[in-house]
Order: sequence, then structure tokens, then C-alpha cells
Amino acid sequence: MDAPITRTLEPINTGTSVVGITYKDGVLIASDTLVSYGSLSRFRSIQRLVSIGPCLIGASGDYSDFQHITDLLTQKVDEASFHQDGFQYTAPELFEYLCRVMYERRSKVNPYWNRVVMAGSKQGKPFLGCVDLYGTHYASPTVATGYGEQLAQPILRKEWHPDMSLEEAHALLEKCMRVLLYRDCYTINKVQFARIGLDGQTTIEPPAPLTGTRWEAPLTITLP
Amino acid sequence: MSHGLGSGYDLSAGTYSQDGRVFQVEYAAKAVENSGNAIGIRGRDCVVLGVDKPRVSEMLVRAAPKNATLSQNIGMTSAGLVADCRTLANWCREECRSYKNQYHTEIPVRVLSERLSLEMQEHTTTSYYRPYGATVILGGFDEDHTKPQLFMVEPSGKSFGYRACSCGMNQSPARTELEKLDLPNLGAEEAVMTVARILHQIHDESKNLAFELELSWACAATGFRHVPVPPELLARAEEAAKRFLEERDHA
Amino acid sequence: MQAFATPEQAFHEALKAKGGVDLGTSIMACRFNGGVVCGSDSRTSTGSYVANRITDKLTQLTPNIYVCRSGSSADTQILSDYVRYFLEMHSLELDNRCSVYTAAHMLGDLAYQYKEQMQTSFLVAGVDSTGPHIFCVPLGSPVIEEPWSIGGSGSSYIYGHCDATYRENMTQDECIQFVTNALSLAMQRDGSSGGVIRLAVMTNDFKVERRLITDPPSFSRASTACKTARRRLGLLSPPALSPSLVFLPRFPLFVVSAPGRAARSP
Repeated sequence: MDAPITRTLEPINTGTSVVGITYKDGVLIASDTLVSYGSLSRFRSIQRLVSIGPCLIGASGDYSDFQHITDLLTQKVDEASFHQDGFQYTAPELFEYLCRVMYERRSKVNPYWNRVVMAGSKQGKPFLGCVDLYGTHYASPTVATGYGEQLAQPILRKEWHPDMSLEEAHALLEKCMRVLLYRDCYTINKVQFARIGLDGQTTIEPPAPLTGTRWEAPLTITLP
Repeated sequence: MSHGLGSGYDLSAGTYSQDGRVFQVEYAAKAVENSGNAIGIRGRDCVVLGVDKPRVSEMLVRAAPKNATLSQNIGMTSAGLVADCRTLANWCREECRSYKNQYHTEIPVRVLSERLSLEMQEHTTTSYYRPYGATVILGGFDEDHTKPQLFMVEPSGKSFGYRACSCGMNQSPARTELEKLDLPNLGAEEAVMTVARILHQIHDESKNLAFELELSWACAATGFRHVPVPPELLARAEEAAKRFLEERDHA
Repeated sequence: MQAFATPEQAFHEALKAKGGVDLGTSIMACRFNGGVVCGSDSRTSTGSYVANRITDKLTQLTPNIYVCRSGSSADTQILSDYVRYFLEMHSLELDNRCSVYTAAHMLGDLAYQYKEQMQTSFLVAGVDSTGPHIFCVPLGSPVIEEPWSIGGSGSSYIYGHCDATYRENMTQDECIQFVTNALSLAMQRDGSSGGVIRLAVMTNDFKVERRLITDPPSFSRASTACKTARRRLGLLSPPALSPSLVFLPRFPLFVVSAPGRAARSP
């Protein structure tokens, strides 16, 4: 008897939350640098935010699938540039392509096990989109994946406003990453920020530990 | 049985002539000699590719590009049947892409030239194919960016590495000019100027055809990527070339 | 359901239950200032039976690149055999040595393609024109470069040890000692690892040396070898190379195995 065809039932090497917001001059996204292996903090300095042509992407979920997605998009962007006819993909175009790829894979019941955040600009305005392993996608000024969906998104929606400065945006994302550090088992205190300006200029900051975490709370707890 | 040069042995690449020649391949080389000129130079840490494009119509706004980027660091220029050149450019692009997918590094220029020469040679062995009527010049850098590379592949499948090479209608006068250069010490901008000058110099004026110049390069200034020469530099190079010709004519 | 520390252990138990031939393994690779050392234990098991106690889990892909295999023996052997063949063709075309990066990605691509059908986990280690490199290709098959890396079921017991004792820019002898100590610790705590330690040392001048350590240091306090062990842990100089280190020929002749064979003999 033929054995049933099996597909990825669960991801193995996984990255956790990516959070992103638009600000007045572009988009800022952040993630930690951990790739977990089950519950083991296996790879602790992996850059999960990648610059590809006109956009910046980051993803939670399976890291090998994410490597394939970046290869796929890089190839797409490169091949367009070889024709040297002045055409360049914009971030929303590339995002739409990615969404189709994600949906195609889910339709083959073999999804890329990721939730991908894509940042760039669209007609002089910041663009920030998110697509999951089913191909469900949306664009939004605040985006969070993984645990961030539960823990960071409410904070972002409450405190975000469209004319934020870079410093304000940075502080807001730091706040979210701090909460995630407190409440997500599979994260580490090594966080990376990356931004893309309206001109497509990408800056990926070196990873650094979060400062200002507070642990005094336990001191106030007393046993009965 | 046809009469003329090949005496009936020239109708297929699958048949030798009685004195051991494959006429179809030689005719393919003739097709290259009927076209415009292409030049490649390997200077000091740079590769410059140039081609002249005859203006086929006064109504033509701008001729389509003839130099092609094949991968990040490799470009090509060519002489011969334009459609064959484009097919070969696409073939090379596909080869670069599949190499990168397989080995996760950029294809070295030498490897690409060897693979291209195999493809072109294959078209000289059976009556099913017409040999490509194109000579291709491949130039660029390998992934380590250490040394500029330049190769030329001919319709017969012959492929060699060069310091400088030329193909097309006036390949011999071009080669004579190229041989005069101090190639190992030629900087990138200087090489651009030189290619522009030689292409203007060898242009056959008797036919009195206007032509457009297309130059592309790969050097430290372009991050070792193969890109078209910026319009400003191209204009400067053309101006210098025309001035050179005027001065030569006055002398 | 039993909880496992790592997916590797979960897979290992699942494979054992199915009765497959498995490299419940300890493998390791580490960079030093002039090359790279990779090592492994020598146990291959079917369930709880040791099918081969002198397995060679270090497979030479090219003269300058080794791969440490863990997971299903049959799967890792067939993949490394393919990659060895591909790399040979590749280096002929290049007329040069293959890069470790290329080797790791070829292995990674194959493993990724068949990740639903196969259980493989590799460490690719070697030197090329850009120096020593180690790539980790674990279950699920991402390809990740690391300065040192450990794998196999035994690795879960020694992360702390390795994190605490690894230093950058070790000398060759220090690195060999680091790898030997770590593997010994893993082999002593992991029932699926055991036997002897096999090492391959590759240096930047493209020399390769195989070593066999038949009496891995013991770290048990109850052991009579306690003193020796402490000396070995603490002191990295007096040359770590005891008479127990047996030198093997540079390119050991493997018994050519048919695809899917359980294990290689040295």
C-alpha cells in the first residue's frame, strides 16, 4: 500500500515575532536575531531582516523557508535589473508577487511556513504589508507577527500616529520588543532594527540588547 | 546540385565538403562580418564592451540595446544577426541563473564562455540546426572581483580569453588599433574613451551610414557590476572620438 | 506523549520506534586560527542495539571539505554521495577547489527538497581559498554558517559546556582538545552515542589529517580516571596528543558502500 504523502507538519527552525510600523519618512521594522530549534535557542545571531531591491523583508516561522523566499525574491529583482530598461519592481508589486507565491504553496498543501512582513514605499508614501502561510495578506501602518500579533499589535494600534518621527517610532518598537522579551519564551535579548526610507534607502542597524527592561516587580511580591 | 563556392556541400552543417570543411559554419562567420562592430577591452581592473549600431531608419528614435547584462558581474556584446545575438543573450542569462541556483555562487566568466561555446558548437554538427550567425564577447568579473575577464566565442564554437578583442565588419582594422594599446595599464575611463575612439575610427565611411554607439563596463566604480556607461561619460567619449577624427583628417 | 528537548531527539526516538538504522549521534566542528576540526562518535544503532561500533560519520566530500552526518544513515549517506559526485564535477569545471559555501548549499538544497521524506542533519566543515568555514544544515535544512557547531542527539547535553569553553582564535591543539572534550561529554550522557572519537583536521594549507581517539577522556567524578580527566579539562598545553591518538592515512580508503547500506567501515 502506498504511504500517504506527508508535508511539513510543523516548522523546525523557527524565528519569532517581527514588528513594523510606518513613520513619516518611511518604515521601521524590528525582530530579534534568534532562530530556535524546537525549544532550544539554537542559532542566536541570525539576521532575520533582509533588504531585497526596493523593499525590506522580515519573517517569523520556518527559517529554511524564509531563506528560500529571500532567494526567490532576490532572483526576481536581479533578473528585472539585468534588462537595464529602467524598470524596477516597487515594494507593493513585489508584495503582490509574494502573496501569489504563498497562496500557490498553500494550495498545493505545502505552504512556506512563514508570516512575512514587507516594507517599502508606494507613490511617495510608506508601504507596509504582511502575508501569512495561507496567502492571507493586508497592508497596514502597524504590523506584527507571531506573539507580536497578540502582545505588540494592541500597543502599536494605541500609540501609533501617522506623523511619527524616526525617534518616536524607534521608541515605540523598543517598547513592544521589551514586552515580547518579557512574555515570549522563544526570544532573546538581541534585537535588530531596520528601516527603509521613502527614497528606498535601506539601513539595517547592528543587533544590540534592549535596555530599560524592568525586573523590580518580583521584589514587591511577598509570600503569604 | 547548386553551383558556386560550396559545390553542393554547403547546404547543411551536417555534411563536410570533400576537402574537410563545413561551409555552413564559414557562412555563419560571414554573417558576423556583414554586421556592425563589437569590441571588448580588458584594462587595469576593468572591462569595457562597445558596439556600433547602424541607424537603419531615419525615423528610428533610438536603437534597442545590444549589450546585455547576463548576471550581476557579467555582460556581453556581440556582432552578427541581431536575433541570434538576443537568443544567445537569453541563453546565457538562463545559464547564469541555473548555475547560481545550483552552486549558490555567480558563474565564472570562463565557465560561461565554455558552456556557451559548447552550445554554439552543437549547432555546427547536425543538419537540423543552422549555426548561430553571431560572435559573442563576454566580459566581467568573477565573484571574488580580483581580475577582469574577457572571452570571445565564435560561431564555430571556438572560445578564447583575450586582453582585447573585436568582431564584425571591420574586425581586422580594429584589432590593429587594439594591438597598439598598453592594455594592462589602461584605466576604466581611459578604456571607455579608447573603445569609443576605435569604433569611430574603424567605421566604414564609404557606406555613409549614421550609427549609434553603445558602451557598457564593469569596474571598481560600478561595484564590479556590468552596467551601461553613464550617458555623461558616453557623450564625453564620443565627443573626444569625433575630435580625434577631425584632427586626424586635418593632419 | 514524551517531551523532547530538541526536534532531533524527537525524530531520533520516532526513527528508533520504526526500527530504522540511525545515527543517534554526537558530531561537532570548530574553527581554529589556521583551519577547522570536525569530529564524531562512532556508534550506529538500530533501536537499542549497536549495529556498528566503529562507524565513520565523517565523510570526505572533496579533498578540502568534510561533512559530519547525523540522522538516518541511509538518508545521509545517499545525500553525501550525491553531493560528493556533484562537487567532483563542479571542481573539474572550475579547475579549482570547491568552496565550502557551495558544498553546504548543495547539500542544503537536496535536504530541503526531500525534507518530508528524509531525516538528515549535517555539519559541513572545510577550508577553501577564503579560509576555514563551518556550515550547519540541521533538520528542516536551513544553511547557517557558524564558528563552531554541534549536532546529533548527544549535542543537547553539551550546549552549556561548549558555550562556556569556546574561545575565538584557538590554536590547533586547543581546538582538538575542545572538540575531544565536548564529544566525550556528549558520549557519556547520550545512550545513542558512544565508541571512539574520530577527528578530521583540515588546515589552511589544504592538508587533511584523520585521527582516532580510542580512549576518550572520562569526566565522571566516581571514575578512577578523575585526575586524568581534570588535567585534560583544565590544562590545554602539555600537548594533548597522548599515545592513544592513532594516526590514520591522510585519505583513508573507505569500503565503497552501496546506497542505503547501514554504515561504513573504516
